[in-house]
Amino acid sequence: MLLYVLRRIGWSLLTVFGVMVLTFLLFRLSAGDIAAAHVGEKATERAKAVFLHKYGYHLPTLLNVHRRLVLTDATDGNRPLNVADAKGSNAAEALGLILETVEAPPPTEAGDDEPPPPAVVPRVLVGHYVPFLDDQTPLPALTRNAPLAPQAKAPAPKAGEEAATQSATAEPATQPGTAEPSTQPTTAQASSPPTTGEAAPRAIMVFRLSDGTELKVDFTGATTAGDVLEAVNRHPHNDGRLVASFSPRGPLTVFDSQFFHHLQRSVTFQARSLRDERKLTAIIAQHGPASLAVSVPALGIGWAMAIIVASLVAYYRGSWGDKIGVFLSVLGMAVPFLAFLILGQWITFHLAPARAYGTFYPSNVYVPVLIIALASLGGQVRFYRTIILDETNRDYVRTARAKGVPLPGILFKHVLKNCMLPILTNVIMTIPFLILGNLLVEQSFGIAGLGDLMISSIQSRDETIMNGLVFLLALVYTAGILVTDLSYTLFDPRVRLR
Amino acid sequence: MAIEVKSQDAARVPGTQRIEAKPLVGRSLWSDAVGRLRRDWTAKLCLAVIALYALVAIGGVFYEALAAHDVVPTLDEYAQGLNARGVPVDRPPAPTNAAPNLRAHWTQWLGTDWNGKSALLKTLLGAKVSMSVGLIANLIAVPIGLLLGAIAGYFGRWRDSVIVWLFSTLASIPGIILLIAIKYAFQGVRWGPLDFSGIHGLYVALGVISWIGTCRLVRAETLKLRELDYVMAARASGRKSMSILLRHILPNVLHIAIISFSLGFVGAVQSEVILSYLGLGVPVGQPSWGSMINAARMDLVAGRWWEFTAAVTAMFFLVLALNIFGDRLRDALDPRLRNV
Repeated sequence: MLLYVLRRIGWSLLTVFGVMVLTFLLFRLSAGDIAAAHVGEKATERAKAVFLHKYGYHLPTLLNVHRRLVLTDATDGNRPLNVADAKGSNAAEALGLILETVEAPPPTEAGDDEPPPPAVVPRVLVGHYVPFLDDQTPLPALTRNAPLAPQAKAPAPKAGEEAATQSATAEPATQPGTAEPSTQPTTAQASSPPTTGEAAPRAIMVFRLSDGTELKVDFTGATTAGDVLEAVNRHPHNDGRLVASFSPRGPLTVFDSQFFHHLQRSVTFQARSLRDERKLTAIIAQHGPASLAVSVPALGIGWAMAIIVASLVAYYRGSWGDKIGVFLSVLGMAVPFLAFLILGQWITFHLAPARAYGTFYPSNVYVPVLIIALASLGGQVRFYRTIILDETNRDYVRTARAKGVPLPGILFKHVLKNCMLPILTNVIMTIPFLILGNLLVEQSFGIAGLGDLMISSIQSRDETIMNGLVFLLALVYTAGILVTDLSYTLFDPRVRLR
Repeated sequence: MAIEVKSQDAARVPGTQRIEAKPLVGRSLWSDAVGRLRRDWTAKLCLAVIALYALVAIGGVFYEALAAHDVVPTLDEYAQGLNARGVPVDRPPAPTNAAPNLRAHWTQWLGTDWNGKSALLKTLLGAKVSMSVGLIANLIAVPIGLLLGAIAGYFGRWRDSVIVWLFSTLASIPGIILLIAIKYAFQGVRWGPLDFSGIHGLYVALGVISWIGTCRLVRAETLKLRELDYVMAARASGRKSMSILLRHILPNVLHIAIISFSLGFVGAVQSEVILSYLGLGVPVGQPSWGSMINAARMDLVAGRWWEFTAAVTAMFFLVLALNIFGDRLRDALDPRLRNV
């Protein structure tokens, strides 16, 4: 018994894991240009990169055997570290450098006695993740997974000059803009790997450090990642103000990938909306009650009606009532759900216009409940009739009739108890819809439930919310099936657990 | 089929003399099922309805091919009163939101939509989408289910575990949600001539999720078949597993595949309508019952009932015929699953 329970639980966990893999494939890997969808098509590459960093899209996909270039500001000012100027070269984009705005600086940065700098002040510049990055990695590899799209406008040299002079006086916030004009030569160079033999274009970057000082580094002639480190660390005027290194790699950083972050966020429900950064749990808590208010009564009423009708129809098998009942349920099964929905709303609109949309009045819930209950009736009646018929043909029913047990007693005391197994399974199958409510009904009746949330998340490409909802459903469903399996012994002693 | 029985064997095994005396008339499952369906006028009627829809669908394919080559006017050209080459004809442009009118041009018999497009033509072309989705999705799903189910049931052990894990994972997400998610992931995905954000994605998405039912049934049946004597005999005589699977198991679970096909067809048609209604099915501009119902939602309030009614009625009769025929087919092919 215990062994069976354990094995069953293990099997459920495997299924849940499978669901996470599936949602990863569906919502994460096939993201497309998710940054463009949320930051805007016309956003700068840097703005998109910041968005991707924020939600962890920059991480390696499956296993993190990657490292990245890290430029750490060792001065203790309170201004953000940034690239003040990237003159005449690919510079920032060539190195795949990006402002860190989300992750707090590593704790080793600030000493324990010093007050920790505000988290919004970026003091670290990081590059893109490169598989197996080391000193020998050629420079173009650094930009390989950088989302570089050539800017539409051709940069005039004058504009570059202007931006450079402007940046000396402007606020650091305008820096992403200044990096823009230099993008065109960047891509041109990145496509043709720089060789020392050719006259490589000069690559000079000016970093503005947090104490306000600047550091001008000449990367001209650098061909490998090691050269870049050397150019910064061995810089004659650096004096340890700016430290270039590769990100550390330990046994656990292997799991610092999108896939493992996805697993962790799925299980803990710690995701945030891509749209407005609200917590997934808060959103579910807000939308859940509306869904439950519709779906619980709907399923309860629908289920009770189906059982009663099916029992009666099955008991009077072969009579006119049975034939009409079966005929009607076959017809009902063929009517599209959308027809029930739209006609129901249309009739409501003519009878009581205020009740046809929204959740302003609590009584608005009646019509959706009725529609869901009625629409599912046909199929349910047929299904339960088949099950109950198997039972009503048995000897104990005949005996009960012969003894004079009244009809409700036979049907609901003896027969129903014996058909509990398939009925219970069928009820469990509908549990996901209990939570999700009904997508279509919620959408057209303006009920702000989880189903409505699901549809609006699809339309706004809010993948974290979709993932959270799908995972929640799968989790509840799997748990439901597990509980049913284990509770079979309660209802049917004939079932022996292996 | 005459059975040759040697006289010694006949003497040893009781009952064989009778076979020898009167050659057994083959009453296979298939001939039995065909005979049963042939006597059943409801089934024949439903089959006729399905065939009619199939004809309309094939007609839709031809119509679209001809319209693409400027032989017949497209939907838009009909609406604007143009001929196939885009030249105005003496017929006036179709009125928009016109009620059904049998005296007008035949395209207006079921009324027109807000664009002046013919509701009748749209309904007929919608049959093409529904029938092709039902057919192709099941052509993808049923073979997968058949093969995986037979492999899982026959080999057991790790193959069984992997396949059961696969389908229980897929089954633990409600079908419509999974469909929506797959269609979402297919956004903008193209592969050669296939455009997965459109109807091709619909085929694949439905195919990928609807093999589960077939697989379950086939697996359960194979588990039983595997223990039967003739399979044991084949194994004992040294037949390869794959050959047993193909020669002895698959033919005996084929009836399940056919039943699944007919049931899956209904599911695919219904799913297509819901997805198109949500805007995740066929691309915009392609006539489909789902997009017609979606477009007609607001029309109904304004009293324009014809587009909605046309789409719903078309779908109703197709689903009704498919449902009843599927039931009869199941009764004929699988006596144990028979509805009492």
